[in-house]
Amino acid sequence: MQDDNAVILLQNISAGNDQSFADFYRLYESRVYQFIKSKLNDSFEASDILNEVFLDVWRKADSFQGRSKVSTWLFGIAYYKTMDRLRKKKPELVDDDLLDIEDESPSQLSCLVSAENAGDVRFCLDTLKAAHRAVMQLTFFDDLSYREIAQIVDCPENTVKTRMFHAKQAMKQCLTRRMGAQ
Amino acid sequence: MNNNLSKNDIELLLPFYVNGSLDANEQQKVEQALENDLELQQELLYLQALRTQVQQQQRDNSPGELGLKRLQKTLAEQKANNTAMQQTADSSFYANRWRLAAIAACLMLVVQTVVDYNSGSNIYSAAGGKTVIQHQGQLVSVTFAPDVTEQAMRQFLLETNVVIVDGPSALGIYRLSVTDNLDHVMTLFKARPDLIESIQKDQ
Repeated sequence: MQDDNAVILLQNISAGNDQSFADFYRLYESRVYQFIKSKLNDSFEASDILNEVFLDVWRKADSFQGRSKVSTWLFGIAYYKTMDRLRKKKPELVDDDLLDIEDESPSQLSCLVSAENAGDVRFCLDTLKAAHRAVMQLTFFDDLSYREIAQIVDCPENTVKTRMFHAKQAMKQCLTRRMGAQ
Repeated sequence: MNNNLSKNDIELLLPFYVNGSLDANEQQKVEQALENDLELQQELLYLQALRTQVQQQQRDNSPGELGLKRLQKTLAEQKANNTAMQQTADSSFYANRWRLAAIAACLMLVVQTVVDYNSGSNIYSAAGGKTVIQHQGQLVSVTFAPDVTEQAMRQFLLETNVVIVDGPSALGIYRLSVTDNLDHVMTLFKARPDLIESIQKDQ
């Protein structure tokens, strides 16, 4: 079990074990980086925050109490640091206003997302609000449950579902617009 | 969970059905709803395609081993700083400790030096403290029997109304202040050889 192994690593890290820290970093670094990058869309800043996240792991390993999965705890740190950076940088991107989006007809949906329009998908992902993009990332890249995501982003479970719903709708709207313009 | 989920509830759960994170009960309800709803089926296809695309988008190179080196360098610097600060604090602590010890020794010397003993008025005052021991009476020096208990000594001194004003000395001599009739007290002391080894009036 990855999480069992991670718990042991954290215990060793809290005792000051450098090798366990390196192992823990290698275990999660890529996923955490992608998660941060998905919200900032800036690889330099994402690397900076990744560094801060793992420094926090070194300092706060003994604060992990096992009430959640290690990955949930870790992504929670990453989420907090990323949103904090975003607030300082672009406060307007962090608010969680819900978009009023008209639904598309079901027949259009299946052709919106395909390998041929990967560029459009990337463009539309980048236009999502940070809070929506975070949930999209955690749901579809990290395959986490809405309960785990609620712990990470520190909000009610229903809010996670709603954010995912609006993220998905925003993607539909954006992709439809882009495909219509071609 | 409510047994009758609305279509909206099902739609909210669909992304998590796609990533396989629903519990068995939720999963069953979503599958039941999907069976007869074309719109939900289309939505499911869209979400599955979207998930595939999101996963394929995430191909940026992470910092990897370079990031680890950076972290290790930062931690090494912090450890070095902490060690330096600790050493500074330790040396400062020891230096201060010796200073405090020297000051305390000087104070003790001053206190011992200025304790004023005025035999003429039988007033004892410790210059270093707020307590002033004052007795108007005559002084006697006594030695107690070696096996006498503190309790027996205390009881006898209370009965004879005398107080210890000095001692014991290195030879076990106590100086007592007597406010009652001195001769009577001397008689009482001499009558208790089990307690009092010797007694004499001080000049």
